[in-house]
Amino acid sequence: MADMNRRDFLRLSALAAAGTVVVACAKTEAPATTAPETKPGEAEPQATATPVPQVEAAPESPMLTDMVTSGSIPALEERLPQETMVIDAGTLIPSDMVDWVPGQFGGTMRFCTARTDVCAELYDANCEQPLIAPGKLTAASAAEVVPSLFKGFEINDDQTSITWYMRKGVRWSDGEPCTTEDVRFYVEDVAFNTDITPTTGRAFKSENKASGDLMTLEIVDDYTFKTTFTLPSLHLISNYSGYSSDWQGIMRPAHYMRQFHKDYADPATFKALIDEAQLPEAEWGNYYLQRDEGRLTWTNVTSQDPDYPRVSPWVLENVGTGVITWTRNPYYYKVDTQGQQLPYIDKERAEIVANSEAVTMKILSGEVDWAREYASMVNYPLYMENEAKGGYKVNITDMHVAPLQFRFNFTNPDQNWQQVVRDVRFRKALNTAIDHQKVVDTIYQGFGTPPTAIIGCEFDPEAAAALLDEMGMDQKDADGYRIGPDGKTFILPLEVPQGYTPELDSLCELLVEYFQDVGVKTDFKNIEATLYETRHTNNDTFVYLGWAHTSFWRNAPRTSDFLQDRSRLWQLWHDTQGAEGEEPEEWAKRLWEIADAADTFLLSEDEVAAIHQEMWDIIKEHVPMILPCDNAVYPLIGSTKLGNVPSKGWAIVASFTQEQFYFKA
Amino acid sequence: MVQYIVRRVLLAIPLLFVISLISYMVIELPPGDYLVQYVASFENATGQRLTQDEIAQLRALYGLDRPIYARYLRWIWNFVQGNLGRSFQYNRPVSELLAERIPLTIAITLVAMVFSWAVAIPIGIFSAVRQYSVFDYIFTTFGFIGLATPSFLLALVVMWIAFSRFGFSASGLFSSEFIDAPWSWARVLDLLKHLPIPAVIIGIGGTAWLIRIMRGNLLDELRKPYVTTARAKGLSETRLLTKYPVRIAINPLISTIGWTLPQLFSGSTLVAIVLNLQTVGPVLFHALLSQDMYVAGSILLILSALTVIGTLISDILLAWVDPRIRLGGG
Repeated sequence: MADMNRRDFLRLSALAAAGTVVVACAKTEAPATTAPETKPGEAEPQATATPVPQVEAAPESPMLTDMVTSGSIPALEERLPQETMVIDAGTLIPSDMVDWVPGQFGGTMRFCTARTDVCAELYDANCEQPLIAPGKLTAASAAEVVPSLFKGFEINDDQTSITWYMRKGVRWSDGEPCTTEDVRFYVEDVAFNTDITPTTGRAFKSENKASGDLMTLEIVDDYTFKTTFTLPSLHLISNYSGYSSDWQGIMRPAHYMRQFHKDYADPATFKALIDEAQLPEAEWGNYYLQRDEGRLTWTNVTSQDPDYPRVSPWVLENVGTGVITWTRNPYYYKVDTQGQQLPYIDKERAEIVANSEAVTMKILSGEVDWAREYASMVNYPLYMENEAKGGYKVNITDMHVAPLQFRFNFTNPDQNWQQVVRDVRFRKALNTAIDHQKVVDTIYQGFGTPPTAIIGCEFDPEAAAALLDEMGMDQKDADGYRIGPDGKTFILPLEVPQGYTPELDSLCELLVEYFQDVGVKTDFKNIEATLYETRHTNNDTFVYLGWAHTSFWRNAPRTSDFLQDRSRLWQLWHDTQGAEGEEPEEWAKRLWEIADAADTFLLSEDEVAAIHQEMWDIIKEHVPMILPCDNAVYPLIGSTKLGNVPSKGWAIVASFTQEQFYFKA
Repeated sequence: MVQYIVRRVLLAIPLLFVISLISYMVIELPPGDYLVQYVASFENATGQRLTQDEIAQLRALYGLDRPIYARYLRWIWNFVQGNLGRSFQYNRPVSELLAERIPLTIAITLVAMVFSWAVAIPIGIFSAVRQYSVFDYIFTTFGFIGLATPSFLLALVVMWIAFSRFGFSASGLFSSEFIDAPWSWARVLDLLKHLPIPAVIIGIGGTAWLIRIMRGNLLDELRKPYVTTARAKGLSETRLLTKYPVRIAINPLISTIGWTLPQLFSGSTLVAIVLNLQTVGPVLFHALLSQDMYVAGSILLILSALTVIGTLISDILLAWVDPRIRLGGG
């Protein structure tokens, strides 16, 4: 296996997978994979055939009824698509995570953020995914994916092409139909247009690789299109179903954006627009990007254009100095089992404050209805103390990122460092030196577990010392610190970015103590965040600390964020496919192969399970990081007045189901 | 006098140019740029990695791919024409961003200033005239405490007391429902309700400092022979005080106008961050942190210009108030 190169591996696994996926598709009853059973145009897929039940409750928010009466929008029947998405218990998130009931209309959801460009809760609310994997951060295979904005997809036999089915009659928030033209415009006129996109991203290239051949797009009809790659590649399904995937990865409101696109706009008007923006004409692509708010889903607070059409539950209404408001999208395509059009809540309002303490203050005084990003375990006692007074409930949920996981830069040019840190005994010794349970108790208030299941190291200072002795670091200096291979006292520089998480400093102080107890001199230093990132790019860091999406791997290996990719030169080698950087050690290369393979969605469930296990084995054997704690939790704070709030599962996944939240009477 | 003013104004122009160059260099000095931070934040949040090509594309979008001198020239040229550039972080024109915040900043600083002058000058005079009386000791103690307490700490303490004792968050300049409301009487009233706490907190350090200065200056004057002469001639105590020593003792305060102007603009940044005030201070702070260079550059340049103008005004005022100042060269 070790002799096999990446391409062989992928080709083989693709061949092996081709048959199995088709079989799997034919077998399952999952709505997404019903598409292959139904010949396009022959019959409506089952998910959409469900008739909307008739009930006495008003099917739309009174706010919209008023707008219909005043004539500013058409009646509900004309706004809803023929193929609505019906939300029942378990549709958006498994029913064991939330006691779902049909909600009622009205109210304003209040958020608070201390960033001038990002309000994470608002992002969660309006990230409208083409496909979903309910309750999961990412799907492990195409079989776990179910419809959302898109009705379904069909994979061809050799897995080079995917036929996508859009919901008939879905409309943008301005009432215009959302069709394959919006997809064609985005792919051909934006992603493939070198004035706007100098280099097309790897999502539209074979095998999700920067060096891959460009995808071809074929428009079948208004609601069906086909994407084809030169090699077997199913990564688009993965891309469009992850928790942070979004409609903006596949389409744009063509009818609106054409006025800012040189190929479509009236030349005179367009020139005036560019002049007004004080851009040279050659840079019209930059002007297009400035106007394209679809790309601002993450930095939503910087959205400026209330007319920009979206397909999300809420759309931008007003931008103020310290407050932005989003209001319900009258054309939203989801309805509940009672026939009520989602979302239940009329408006979402984000207040921007100057610092995270001000957010905490507002949470405590009940001025925030939903808080995820700024909720922190460090403040847990404070939240609990004021729970009744502030009128909120704290749900302890799973965290989608490992808050603190130190990764080594195996490629720092310091030879002495490389020699020590590339010795697995050193990495094991450090992890063994940590009293994990104490970390969990003191830093995480007892929530969380020791990371034994992942790295296999249990707290044992003597064993740690023995490992260090064994690797030849048995000599000590006058202060009792171990001597490195170069004959000088070895120093572990625990340099970390400032302000990363509130608990970082206290945790690092504990770590310094544990490491020095076994004789490894440790220097803990906070470095300004931007400087830290720059140093990392220059390969000057020793230890890397950034949000690690380790939790993603619980479902399947993912390429997005891997243990070895913060070793700068290895990362370059991988990104440039060997043209630059330095060839990684075998285990690191293998981790990448595994993740890349899993990411293509070409493997059968058994194969995914096999490489998944292999990934855990490699991590346990090579312990590429310092992991002080596992199963980190997140205090998710919601007003007691909110209904349909999940109490279990991933915090971020819960936050993504805001269209079914409602205010109880 | 006119010649004096003209000469000072002409001197200010090259000075401002040098300042603009230096402030731009200072902003560019830290390694990395806005994108480094943006990319890190994006990757952390979404779990998606941006490719080198995508980063290069963004860098071009923000104009960060040009060499430093080109960026400076482009910025300063636009600045002179009144275009302050576009903020990366807010995705809006800098001028729009500042226009929203300047009125509030000026309002709050003016209230704080009026508060500190109104309190400090009478107390300073009183302390000097009744030196070593009980009140002098009380005010002196208060003055030293006020000087020694950082105002942001005071802000934190006040906020905590307000929350734990009275159950309201003393932060911000408006109640939630008024933050974005159009101007109305209700909104003005709401602002007036929120204004005293930040104004007093910002003003308190200055008050303590002013009391000390006023007291010291006046004591110096009171011991001078002309005071004794005036008193011997039978001038009433009040008239004597206000007519001569106080007038002279106030001179050093006038020279502080030079720093007051930029303060009016940027306010007290730390207090504004702690109290969550929508003033210019926090914008500058965040812009410096995230290397949002057009915002930071514009604010720094405006601040420097205001310092220069403020110094000019205080020089002119002093020359006008105090006939002892010579206007000629040398």
